[in-house]
Amino acid sequence: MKSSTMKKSAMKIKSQDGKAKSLKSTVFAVVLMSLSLSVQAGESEIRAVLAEAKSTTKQAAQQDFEWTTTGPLIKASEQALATGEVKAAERLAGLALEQARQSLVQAEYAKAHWQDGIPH
Amino acid sequence: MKAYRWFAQQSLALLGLAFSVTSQSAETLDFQAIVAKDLSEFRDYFARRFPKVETTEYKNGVYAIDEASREQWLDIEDFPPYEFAVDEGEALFKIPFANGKNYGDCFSNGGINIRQNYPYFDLDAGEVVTLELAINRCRESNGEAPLAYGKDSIAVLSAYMASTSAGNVFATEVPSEAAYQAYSEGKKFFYAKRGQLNFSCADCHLRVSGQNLRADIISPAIGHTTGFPVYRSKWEEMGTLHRRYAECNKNVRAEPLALQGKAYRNLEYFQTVMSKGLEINGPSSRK
Repeated sequence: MKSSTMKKSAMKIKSQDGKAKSLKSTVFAVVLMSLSLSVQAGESEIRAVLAEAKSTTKQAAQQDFEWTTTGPLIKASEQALATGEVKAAERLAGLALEQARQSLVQAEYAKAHWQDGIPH
Repeated sequence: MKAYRWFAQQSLALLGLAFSVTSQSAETLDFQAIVAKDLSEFRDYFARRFPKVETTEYKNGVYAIDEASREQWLDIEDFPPYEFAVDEGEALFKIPFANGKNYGDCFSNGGINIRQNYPYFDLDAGEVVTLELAINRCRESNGEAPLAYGKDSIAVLSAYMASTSAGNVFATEVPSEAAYQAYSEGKKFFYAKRGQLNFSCADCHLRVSGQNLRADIISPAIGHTTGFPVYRSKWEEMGTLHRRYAECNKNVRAEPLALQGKAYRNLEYFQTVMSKGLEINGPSSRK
């Protein structure tokens, strides 16, 4: 009785071990796939960020509030993308978008607050 | 008879309505009073900030408020670096266009002694006209290509015309609501913060005027327009007021705007109104 129970348990463990192994390899494969996918998605995401940075800068420029620092960041990001430096391109695109947004915020703020600087 | 009476009543009512609307809009926007108040507050600010400086002295820019800088400047003025520009400008001014006319034909009094009349608000065109814009429009109306704004020929022509007007005073007016609109746009530009450094013209040239910005002392905003065009030591050549505006914008990391574009012309208009009563002493030299 004891030996049959032991056999069953051993078989169970063996099968669990096999399942765990296959789970591990599945997870590993998924991680590998997602890593390679994330690089591809990163490039398209960066291009989307750059496009948004450009359109936001254009909006700021239309109100005479473009910053001199945003354009060079966009260019640098595009150059980094062209040479395959994806991480650098991502960082630069993020900075460009942040600055473009800030310049637009500045333009909007100025509409309501430009008079704050008038001496009284 | 009835119809005649009705028509007369209606006409009178309409006339009354028109009169009340006119007087209401005059009441709601007394722009002359606003401009006068702006000028008074501007002057008062600098009177409080630099109590020892006479208002008439502000035509000299930063040299009105800093004695050491003034001494250096006076030494430079012994042999003015803009003198050659004035001669060159005079020569250019007198060269006839291809059609036989010249610059003098485009301006009142032959273009002599008229610097104080610019900028002005052109009521017909509905825009501010600066001297440099008028020079280029003169060229274009005579079939010549416009000059590039900022330096070189436009700066020396402007320098010569300013030199013939030395001692005349600015009396720039804001004659209409449309002119007041342009003045207000210039005023907004002056007080609005811009660029990555988030600085307005007023931040430097009002609030911290007279203080050091690295090795330089910041000039007061009053009288900014009197001495231009200038020979600027940093440029090692002549330049116009709008070139300086562009440089200021770049300094605060704001993208400079088009020279002689609407925004800078309105800014010049506002600044010239704020310099009302000051003498023209351009061309001059600046650090």
